[in-house]
Amino acid sequence: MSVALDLGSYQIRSLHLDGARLVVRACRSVYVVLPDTNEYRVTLDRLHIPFVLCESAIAVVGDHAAELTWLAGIPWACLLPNGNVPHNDPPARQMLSCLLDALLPVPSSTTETCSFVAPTAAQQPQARQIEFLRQLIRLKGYRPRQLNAGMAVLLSQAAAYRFTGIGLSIGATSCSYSLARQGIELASGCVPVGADHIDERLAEHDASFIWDRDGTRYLDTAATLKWKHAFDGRIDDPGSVHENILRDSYQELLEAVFTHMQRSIERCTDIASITGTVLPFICCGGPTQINGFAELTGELLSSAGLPIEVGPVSIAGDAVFTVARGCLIHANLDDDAARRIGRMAA
Amino acid sequence: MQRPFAGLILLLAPFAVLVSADRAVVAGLESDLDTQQTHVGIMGHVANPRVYDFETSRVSVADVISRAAGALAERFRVRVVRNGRGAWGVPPGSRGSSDAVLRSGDLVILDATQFLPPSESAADDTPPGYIQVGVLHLNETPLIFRAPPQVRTVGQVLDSLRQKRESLESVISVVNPSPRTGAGTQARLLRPFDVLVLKPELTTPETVVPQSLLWAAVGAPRVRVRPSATSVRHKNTYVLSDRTDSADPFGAQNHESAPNYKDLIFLRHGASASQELVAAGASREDFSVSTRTDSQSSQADAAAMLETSPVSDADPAPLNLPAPVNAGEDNSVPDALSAMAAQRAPIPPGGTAVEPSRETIERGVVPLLDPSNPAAKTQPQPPRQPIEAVGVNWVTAIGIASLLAILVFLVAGSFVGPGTQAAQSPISSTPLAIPGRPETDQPSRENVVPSPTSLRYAEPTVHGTMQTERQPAAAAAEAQTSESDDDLCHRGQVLKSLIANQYPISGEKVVLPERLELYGKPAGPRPVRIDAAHEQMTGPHADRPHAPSASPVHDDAESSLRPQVISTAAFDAPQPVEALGLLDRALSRVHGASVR
Repeated sequence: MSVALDLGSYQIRSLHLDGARLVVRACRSVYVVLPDTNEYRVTLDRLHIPFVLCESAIAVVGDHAAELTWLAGIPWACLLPNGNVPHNDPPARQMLSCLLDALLPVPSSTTETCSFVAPTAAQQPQARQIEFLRQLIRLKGYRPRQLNAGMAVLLSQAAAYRFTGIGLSIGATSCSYSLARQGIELASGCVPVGADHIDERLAEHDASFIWDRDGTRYLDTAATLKWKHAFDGRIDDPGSVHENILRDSYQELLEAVFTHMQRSIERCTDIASITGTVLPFICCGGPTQINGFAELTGELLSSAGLPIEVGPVSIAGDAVFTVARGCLIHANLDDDAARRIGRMAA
Repeated sequence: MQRPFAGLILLLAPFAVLVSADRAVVAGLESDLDTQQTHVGIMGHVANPRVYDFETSRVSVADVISRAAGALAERFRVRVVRNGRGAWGVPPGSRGSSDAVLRSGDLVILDATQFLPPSESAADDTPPGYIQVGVLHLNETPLIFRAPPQVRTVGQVLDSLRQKRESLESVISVVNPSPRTGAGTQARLLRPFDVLVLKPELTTPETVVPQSLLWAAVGAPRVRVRPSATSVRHKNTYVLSDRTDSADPFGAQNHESAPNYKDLIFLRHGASASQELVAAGASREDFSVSTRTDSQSSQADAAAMLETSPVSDADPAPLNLPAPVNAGEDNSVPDALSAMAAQRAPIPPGGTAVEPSRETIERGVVPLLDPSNPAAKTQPQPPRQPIEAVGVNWVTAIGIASLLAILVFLVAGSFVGPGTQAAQSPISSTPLAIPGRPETDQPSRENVVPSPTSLRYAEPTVHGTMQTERQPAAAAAEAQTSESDDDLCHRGQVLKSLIANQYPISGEKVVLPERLELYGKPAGPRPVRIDAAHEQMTGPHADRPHAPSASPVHDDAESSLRPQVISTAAFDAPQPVEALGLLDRALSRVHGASVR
């Protein structure tokens, strides 16, 4: 039983096949810190909310944390801040381990594969961030396989194009892209900017802050996120100052990605194999679900100067599970190949 | 006859004074503790049966009844359940039912059934058909459960509770129904106002902390298990010692956040370290067992070191643009077509099949055929044995096997020649060593190919005549996968269906751990700077330095017509990483600036 793990700064999802259905487990990758007092414990008990005990504090992890910011008076903290494993937050790392415990099913054998995508920009396998995540997955009993989120998008959505094209996954803290030809990745990259940057910029513009009991000020990005989710206008046709900022933020984000992509593709030595081919451009992720995103991306792509010919932009319909499904395909491919090789060796 | 009594009274008088003084002291202490919270539940014929919190430790039955908006009948019986024992009337030590002092966790039951006419029912907020059942956990807040009509037995109530609170499943082990119903079973029918007393297990197993959690706590590639019982304050204690070295990428931060802790210790009294780790879910390949030679080696196994291969100290490379990924490099996806070709292509006559190394598998690249490599024909290794099969008690097993070997040697030696002893021995096929690997470096009973990044399990070397090499044919036979062609076809169909997105997706609830103790102090969210923003900020969160000629001096009229040139050298200088915002860092990387 192979497992896919989509480690996101907004949500962590696992996907595995159980009979004739895909089973998904998802949980927000946030936590909220509460004072360790009897009142809070009783309140959480009454609400049937599990919590963990830290040094002089209690912490609520996951989906409940996002609902409990009113109780804490401060916004939630991310388990993967800026897409990285927190180096100065040991409880967050332990919570991450607990979350993986809850999200990953018990492996039935010791040779099962877990393909995962990480939000961090340090995509090198030897990087400490990735090694930490790999080790956590190893300790759960799986063989970890890292995958670029853009490649996962292609594996999930580009079967009709024989896994050829450009896949772009826009996450909360990073954007990952891959250029592949028939399932072979030719170029890939990750830009450490995501939708959180847009939320922060909007919150700063609106001066949307909240204060805790000590008077410390925090950006209230939750309110911005709520507004953004309720926004039904088009970002390619802004109608107010606020929407202009939203469009500018999206434009900055996409331009940074396209600049990175251009340099990456220019360094690709196998670019000749795909020249002359109109490549599909498939986007995925929560921020892509806003109206007018495809039109804005197409407009910016035409002026990005990519050395390849890119077709119309398409948005993956399932923004939540596309990457996870791509990871599961990758894990099954890996398992399948390993078994065949094992049979040949035998 | 009265003199002895008088003498007795005289003798006891000082003690009476002492007792009264003690009571005064106790009363004083109680008044000091009066600020405690008291959680008392009330159920039965009251308007609002539920658990109430009082900000005082002196709570009477009358207080609880009045808090519950009064009783629903003029006459009723009061029962207080405390510590799993209930009594009609008044709690011990009180003069009347109304002024009885309750304790936190008590459950008060007002039962007016026998005083109410049969046609009249309770007028509280309990829905019709439901019955109230009290649930008491020792030392916890009581719970009043309104059992629907279909839930009438003890087992059904417990199942319903478990659906609401998963933690109960691990807590409840003994169910004692109320004394009125006697010690019952899960199938016993419940009546209104029955109370279930849930006791934790008498022999509560210690919390087994997963080894991965320990690893995450330290975030270090090295975790030491120290057997010193004196440094273990409790049965499960996390203490950091000076083993956290500089190779620990998170060690410095750990020291900063908790200077009193230096290393991680996780050991139960009387348990060996290897048993502990295996029980905690660690694989035997995750740690190496090394025996100390110093004076502390009396607890040989307890001194096991949990070590992983150190992570490279080198800083992760800056976000260079990735080179085009060819087959054999990281981040590559195994080509489905290649894999299919590997399955279908026959092995060339001069070629040999190459077993994928662990490192190769780690990188997700599958080598196909390598006819040029003469040494590539490696024998497949046996499938991994489960941890239980490995067994910690291998010394005993080898000792017994040695005795058997000696016996066989003696018996066989009298019948056959010495050259055939190994073949005749019934234990000669015991796979204790895999050919081609040094004994100390191989996981002797697990199919693990060590890689630089993988953890290493080094078992102590076994010497003696028992160490026989595995027969190649037997090893090959063991390595035969049990999968048939049908299985592979099925997997292919699964893959196709997966790619075609034909499987429905269903969600599953994520069960998070409750009341797990974590090491360290959480950092929490990142606060925003509360000082005034700099007027000359260049970008988000960037600290723009002052330009030397930011305020040009207009000394003549001509100069005002001249375009002002402001030096941008200060802005172009590379900024420290911490001074840059997210977007700045990304753009700097894009434009090739070295920010790391």
